[in-house]
Amino acid sequence: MNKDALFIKYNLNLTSKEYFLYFLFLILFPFAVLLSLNYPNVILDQGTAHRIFYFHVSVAWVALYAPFFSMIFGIFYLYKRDLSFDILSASMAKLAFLFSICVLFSGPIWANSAWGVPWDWTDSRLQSFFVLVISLLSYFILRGLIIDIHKKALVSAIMTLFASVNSVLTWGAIRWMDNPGNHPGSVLGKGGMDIDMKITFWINIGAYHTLFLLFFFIIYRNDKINFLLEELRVYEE
Amino acid sequence: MKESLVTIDNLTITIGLKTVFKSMSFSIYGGESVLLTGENGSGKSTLLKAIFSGQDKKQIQWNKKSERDRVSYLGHELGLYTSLTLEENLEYFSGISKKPISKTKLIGITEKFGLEKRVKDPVHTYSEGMKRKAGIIRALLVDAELLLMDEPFNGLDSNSVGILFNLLMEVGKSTTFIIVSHEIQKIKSIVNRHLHIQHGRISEIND
Amino acid sequence: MIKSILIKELLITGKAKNGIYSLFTLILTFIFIFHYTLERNNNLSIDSLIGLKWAIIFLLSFIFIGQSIWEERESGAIRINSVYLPAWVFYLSKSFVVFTILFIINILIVFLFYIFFKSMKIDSLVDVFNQIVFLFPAGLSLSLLGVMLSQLSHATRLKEVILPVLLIPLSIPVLLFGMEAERNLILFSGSILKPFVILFAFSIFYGSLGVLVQELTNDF
Repeated sequence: MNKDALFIKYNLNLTSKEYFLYFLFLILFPFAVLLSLNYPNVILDQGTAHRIFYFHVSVAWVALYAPFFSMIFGIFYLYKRDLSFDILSASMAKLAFLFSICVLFSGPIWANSAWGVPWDWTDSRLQSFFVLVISLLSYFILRGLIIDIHKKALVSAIMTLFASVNSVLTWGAIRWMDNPGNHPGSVLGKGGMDIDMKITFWINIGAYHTLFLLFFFIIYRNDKINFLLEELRVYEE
Repeated sequence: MKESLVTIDNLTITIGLKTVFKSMSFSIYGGESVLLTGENGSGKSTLLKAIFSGQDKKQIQWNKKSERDRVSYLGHELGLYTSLTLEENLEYFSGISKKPISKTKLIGITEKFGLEKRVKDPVHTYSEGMKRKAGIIRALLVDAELLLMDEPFNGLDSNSVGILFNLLMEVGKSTTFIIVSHEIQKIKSIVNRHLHIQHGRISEIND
Repeated sequence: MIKSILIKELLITGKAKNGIYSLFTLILTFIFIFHYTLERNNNLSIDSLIGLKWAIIFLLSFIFIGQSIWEERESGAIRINSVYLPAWVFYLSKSFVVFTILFIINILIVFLFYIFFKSMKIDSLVDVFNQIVFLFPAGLSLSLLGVMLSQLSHATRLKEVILPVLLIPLSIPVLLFGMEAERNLILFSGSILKPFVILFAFSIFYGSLGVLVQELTNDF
């Protein structure tokens, strides 16, 4: 395969859907942030810190389902043995990790005002989420330590299975345990939110999901470029 | 027409992003004694490992499944548990292989290599040459349809080289074997086919 | 075939006498250090002892599992085994032997806890049973998980060092659940069957995943 063919194989031009996402993000995101800071009423005993809920839950949703997408791409790699799927899986795992870190920093801000302590080790949701973050960390440590790219892809695909299982356990922690702890239940439950909170919440969900998609395209393109550079380097040799 | 034992059809192996072989195709026929040569890093050991472990099953077709189970391999690693004695190792590998040779034959081979007095010693107490001989005995304990040996003469004294030579001539009467070796002149007399790997491609050499 | 495999595993383990003595010394040292540093003026509560016991068991399993796979890899026999043995036979036989030894170590730890810690009351066989009942499925989960992850860590540059990093996130649910179940049983006479079944379900899950991983990574 010559160099021109390699560039064609990996389409690096921005597509119209990416331009649309950029535009949507520029409109929606600032609006969502300003809305959450100013519009809905706060829960009086928690104070203004409660507003971080709109950020925290939105990123938490992504952090919980991104490992699934990573797993699905991993399964595709196992089936097809095409490294493009490994790149997709790794990009998705990076996003899962990034959004998990956001959850870990925003949660204690809210917890400190709501519970009086930033972290409660007896809470099952917090414990299981912490385990999810460690499993994602293990994923990257393992990827960094394996040199052969096919072995790396194979082991990564297996690790995404574990991360997904941890993700399910985190989701179920507040639903399946008898005494899950202080963490609030599902926001989609009966009598969950007032109308102003609901509107703000769903707009934030839309904004952060747009951000998630945007990051995914950027990270995936970056990973593709790195892979292409590596292929070219080997081709030159 | 000779029946093929194993057919390699369009085999491509990559290590990392580097292609070791691309679309390699050839057949090994029953009763053949094959010498496989190539430069360092050409993929000789990789090819033997691929045939032995059945990687890329679609590209490596065995004539019969029963033949697939009767393959033996000696690589650069011994394939022996060094904390166990030679006797314990041989008992284990005899126990797990589908068709081991008779105990009498095995004792005979051990005696030929001069290890009969050391069978009850752990393998880690052997010298490097003795370990190599022990690995060869382990490879020969299977009544194999196909014997794969990667540079079996390395580390052997001249007497043991002669013993292995004679054993391979004997074994070659009923077993197909592929030997990787750089000692072409020595081995030419016991092989009837010479394959050479170069730039990821395999070719037949008519000596 | 199974007989040959089990004899080989037991021989390898038996030959590692120095390793076994080292492990025993390590267990004794851990327990002595915790006893000396924590039980200065007051006896540790049963609650704390349960937590301590599970923590020591988990730490030791990281060390032991890594070492048990070492010889398979270093000798190159793993490649030979991969052709003659189905992947699931190799995986399950290795896991079974690791589990057996881990379970013996667990019983030893319970015995040492009885000697060192005053709050550890073992007056009857029922008390002994309560102390080890959940260690059985937890040990099985750890063995199945550990052998599977050691196969994965074989592909990396740091091998045994990376094993705890992989084991921790996946074994924590077993640790937490097992510890909670044992607390409920010993302190509040809670149920045995339901938590035992759930812990056993973990083992089945890890075992199934382990067979799949062994099949996929057989040519590592």
